[in-house]
Amino acid sequence: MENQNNKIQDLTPFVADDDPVSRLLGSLKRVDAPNDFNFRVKARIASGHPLESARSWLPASVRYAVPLVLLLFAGGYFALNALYTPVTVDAPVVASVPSEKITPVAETPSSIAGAPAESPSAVKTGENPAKPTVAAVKESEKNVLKPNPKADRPSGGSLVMASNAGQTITANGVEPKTAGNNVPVSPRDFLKSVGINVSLNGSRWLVLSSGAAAVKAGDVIESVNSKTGLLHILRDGKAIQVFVR
Amino acid sequence: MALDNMESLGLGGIQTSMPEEKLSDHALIEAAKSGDETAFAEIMDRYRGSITNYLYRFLNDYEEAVDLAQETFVRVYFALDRYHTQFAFSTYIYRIATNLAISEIRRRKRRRLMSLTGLFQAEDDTAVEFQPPDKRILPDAELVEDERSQVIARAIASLPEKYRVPVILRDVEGKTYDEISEIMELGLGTTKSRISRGRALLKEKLQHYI
Repeated sequence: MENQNNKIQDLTPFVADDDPVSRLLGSLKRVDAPNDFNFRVKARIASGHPLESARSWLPASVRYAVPLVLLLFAGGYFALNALYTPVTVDAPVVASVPSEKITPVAETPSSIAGAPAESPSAVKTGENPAKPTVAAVKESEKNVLKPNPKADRPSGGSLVMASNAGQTITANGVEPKTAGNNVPVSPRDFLKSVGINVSLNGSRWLVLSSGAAAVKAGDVIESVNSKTGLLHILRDGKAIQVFVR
Repeated sequence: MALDNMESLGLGGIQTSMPEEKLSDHALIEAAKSGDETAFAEIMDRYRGSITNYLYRFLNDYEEAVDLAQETFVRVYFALDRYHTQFAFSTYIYRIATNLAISEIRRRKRRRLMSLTGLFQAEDDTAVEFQPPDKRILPDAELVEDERSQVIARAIASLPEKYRVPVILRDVEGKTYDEISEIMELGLGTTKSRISRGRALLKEKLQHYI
């Protein structure tokens, strides 16, 4: 009985407000779902919802945690790279050959018995220190402050390379290789690095021995391009070009 | 979740021994969460008619309305675990249906597709449903009634979405202003304003029937 009343109520046109439009819309016939509605919904559920089923097999924690962890790893990797990248100082190599002999200054051998403390100030003031013993002198020689050649050079490198700096650029087209820190590489060093021993003959390089197949002993190297590895060679009076790397 | 329990439902509705007193929607949802397919079928029986009618008035396309109504229940089923009972279930299911209908309308606009009943652009660039003439011979009264219904349906379908939803919910489905504002996730004042504006637009279009 109650169900019948509900059904009658459902069929009664609905009037929401005292408004002509509202009455008009409320008078529209209601449509109902088809009889097989539940069956079709059930079939859809059984076939699985494509969007939901694709996502639901992974728990929410995994769905969000995995990308987050990957993001953190990537961020950490780039952050560490940025922090620990070696800093290169672009400073030119200065050929500094020590011209003065550094006077060794002995530290005070305080551990030597009977040897009084000797300090530069004592020498300057003209005091008469006691003459050190032989053992004390030997000990003092060990403690001599030797000049540290590396300390005088701002960006490393060898003194030999620095002394050869004048040979890196020649008039006949030798193109020195410039490294990342702008340190010039001499042709001799470049040739040596590819296994070619040369000696300077005027403005040309005479090959003494060669580990490179394209270059033979006796060849005359006219120019070197250390960037491309191109050598201009005179062999038996003929000019040839070879690549050594 | 096994669906075998639903076999006994047949095509017409629940034939199992349901309790005499009417369970609340929340109680049915809780039962459905625990795997009671009969409870979900009861939910369908309660809302399938109103949801289908609502979507039909929104889209003016019965087949599409039935399809989206089914999709609404499928989404409810798969989202049972995420449903919180602090919201009224009727609000929840109407919101899902509304979102689906709006998505469908926008999809139609994007693809410029025409449904079987036809959809064409009016001169003022508003989408209006086109109903082909029915060639069957009908009694005069039914013919007049049918024509009137078609005009009203076209007028509703020509409303912009933001007015169409609250007007249908209020004047066709009989929802309260509070329920409509919850479904649309709008303030009460905005909801009333939109309903009023929608009615005014309809009044202009339906002045011959008022």
